[in-house]
Amino acid sequence: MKDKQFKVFLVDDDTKHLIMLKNHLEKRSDYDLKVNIFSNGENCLDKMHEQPHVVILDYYLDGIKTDAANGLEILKKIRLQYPDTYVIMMSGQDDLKVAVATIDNGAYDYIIKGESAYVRAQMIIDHIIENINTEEWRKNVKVRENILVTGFILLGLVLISIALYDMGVF
Amino acid sequence: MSEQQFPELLRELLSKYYLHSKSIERELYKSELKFRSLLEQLTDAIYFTSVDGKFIEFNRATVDLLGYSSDELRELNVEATYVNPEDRDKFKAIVTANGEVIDYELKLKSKSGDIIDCLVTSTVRYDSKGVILGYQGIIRDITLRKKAESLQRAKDLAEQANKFKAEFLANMSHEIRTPINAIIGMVHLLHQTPLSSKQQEYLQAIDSSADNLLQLINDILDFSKIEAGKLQLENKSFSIRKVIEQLVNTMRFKADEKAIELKLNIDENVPESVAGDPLRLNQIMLNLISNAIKFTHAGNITVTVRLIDTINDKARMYFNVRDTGIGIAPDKLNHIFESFTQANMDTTRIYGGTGLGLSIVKKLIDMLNGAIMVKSKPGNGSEFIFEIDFTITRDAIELDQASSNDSGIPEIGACRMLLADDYPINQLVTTELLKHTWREMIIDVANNGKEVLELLSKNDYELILMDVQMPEMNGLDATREIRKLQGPKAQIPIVAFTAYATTGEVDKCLEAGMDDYISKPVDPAMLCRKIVEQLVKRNYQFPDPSAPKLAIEGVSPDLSYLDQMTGEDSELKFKMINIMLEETPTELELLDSYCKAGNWDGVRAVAHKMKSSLQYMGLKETLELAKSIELAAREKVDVDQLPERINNVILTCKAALTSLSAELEKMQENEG
Repeated sequence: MKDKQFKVFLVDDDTKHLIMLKNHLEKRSDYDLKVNIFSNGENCLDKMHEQPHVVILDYYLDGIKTDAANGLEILKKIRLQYPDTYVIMMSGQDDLKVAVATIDNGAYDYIIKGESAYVRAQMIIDHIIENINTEEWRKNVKVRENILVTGFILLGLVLISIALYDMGVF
Repeated sequence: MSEQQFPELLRELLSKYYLHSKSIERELYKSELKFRSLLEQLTDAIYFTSVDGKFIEFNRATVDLLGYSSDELRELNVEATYVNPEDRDKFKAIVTANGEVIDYELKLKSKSGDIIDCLVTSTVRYDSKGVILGYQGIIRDITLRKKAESLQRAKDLAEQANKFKAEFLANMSHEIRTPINAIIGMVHLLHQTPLSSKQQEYLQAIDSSADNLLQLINDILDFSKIEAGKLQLENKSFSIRKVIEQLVNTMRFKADEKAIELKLNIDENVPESVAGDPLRLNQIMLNLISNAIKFTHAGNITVTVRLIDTINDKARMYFNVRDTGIGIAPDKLNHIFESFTQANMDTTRIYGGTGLGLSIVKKLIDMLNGAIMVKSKPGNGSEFIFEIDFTITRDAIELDQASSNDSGIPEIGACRMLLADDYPINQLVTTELLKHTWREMIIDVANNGKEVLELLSKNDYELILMDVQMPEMNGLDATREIRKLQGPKAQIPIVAFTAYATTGEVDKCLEAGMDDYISKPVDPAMLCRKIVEQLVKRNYQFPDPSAPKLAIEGVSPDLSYLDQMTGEDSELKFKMINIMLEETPTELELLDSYCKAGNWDGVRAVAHKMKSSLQYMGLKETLELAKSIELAAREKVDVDQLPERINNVILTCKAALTSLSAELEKMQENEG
């Protein structure tokens, strides 16, 4: 399973959370994850061209940079530019209203901070990667099917032309 | 006088004589009749026997006593009435030698074979020439008296045994509590050292096992208390979920050992906080779950807790413990809640146990106005279901778990105390516990009452902590001696450590002149509270609490959550601690300046961000405070209270950071 590396961006103004979550994901995930961390959403947006598979966004991001945009604003920008990126939102227990707003705005899932948040984040990411893999596998199968069908058609054409030649049509 | 007169005279004389002799005979007969009726009326048996052992004469009482008819008795050999026929020869020998015997104890046998305890008084009958004619005697039946005596003896013995039992219970509880006290104390100290999460987990298991052991001893004492109607129920706020979860987690080790699955289903609707007696609920569930584990060899045990109904503030709770164990036979089901009963006499041999568990459960549930029922099929397992009403409360539960780091405990500075305990481990435990709360405290240790008196005469102390049981001179005697002293030293506050659970011990302490007591095992927070209480009473000069250095001295971080999250990874842990040490001061400054500037949005943001640090440092109360600050700042309510709350957070955090950096240094030293 570890043959392919997946890229994850973490955005949180709390360094401790970033470190703990990065540590957890890199060590515990079933997949090979490369986790980049950002202390605010603006920095993350600057790096989005690297096309991470998953972005985990905290809602409140203005703990250090007082004019930092909040997670919902960043979410909207990411969804606009990179609609294929999975975005997971994260917030404290008392922000359930925010949760609904983020899901409405295209967040893939929502994690409430707390003891089980890391495990949950890991499970969601593993699930996403499974989806990505399945999707790719399906695409591969489709391509193979197409090649096969084209091959058969060509073979049929050749056989018919040979038959026609033999019959002296040409 | 004429010659003719003589025959007249003679005749007269003769007739007089005749009449006289007739009257003598009559008198004789009358007299005999009188004695005979006297004999017949006597309740003691009176008899005459011949030398060869025949009953010659006897009264009614003899017939009644021996149960033979008079005719049968006359035919009978006396030996037949002896329980041991050879006793007759012994008896004869004694009577013959002494001429008489008084109150000789004999066992006789009645016709129906009943054994009669008798006292026999007897003399020998001789004829005029001194030849032995036979024996005469009185037999007194003392069977009833003997029975009464043995009953009295049995009663005395039983009373004595009961007294021994009470003493045994008290002693046993003392003997077991002393080492458990040491175990619990040591575990408490160990908890305060850096530990890996595995070690934490094991320590937790030791801790709860020690607690359970203590619980068992209390079980036995409780049972006697319930029987005597003296058990007090507590009424405090607690979380049913937490109590059950904690219990099931501790029981999981046992279940794992037997490879049984222990499942817990707590319904979401279970109220978070209720008023009631958590200890008793725990006791009931502990008994039921440990029974289930004991009697299950394969399969699983399911613990279910549900809310049945809420009426006003009363919540009716449903508890169910179901196992797939050996089950109970239908004819035993009615008896399992009786004391000292197990479903089968073999049960005790195979599974052990006091047979008190279920009877305590039943009695406790009765006391809590609940009801319990049991369903079981042999071989299919058992199901114990009970329902209890609780009052729903909205209190914060965390308050119950306030630790000794509680900011409610004031700093007491370089207070000098004397600790008297003969058990070295307990000396260590108590000293460490106290020093943990009050670093500057000076503690001297005495091993017995005599040393207490010696040390007290040399030094000045603010308070004495005294164990009751000590060799040479116990705590009670030492206290009496101290109270007899001259001068202010006689008034020193004395707090007793009692291991005896019986209230009698407490009374003895107070009678001896002690001021307060704390029962073992010692609860650190309680100990500190009691000490402060005594110091306050004696107008002790507490160091100025507004002096910031002292005010923050008592806060030390609890890194168990961090340990749990970082696992075995000490490098990650160091990193986290370093970040906290670096970032938190900046955050505190920001918090302060935003607060002063009235920038509530800034306060909200910083308070929000600080929460994780507070959680990692284990400052539960400050975490709650930060949450409330964040909420108030966001909603702009109660902002006038914010400066005070923020100041509180800042002070606590600064103190915690000082301890944290000390802890980090220690850890780095340990790591080498």
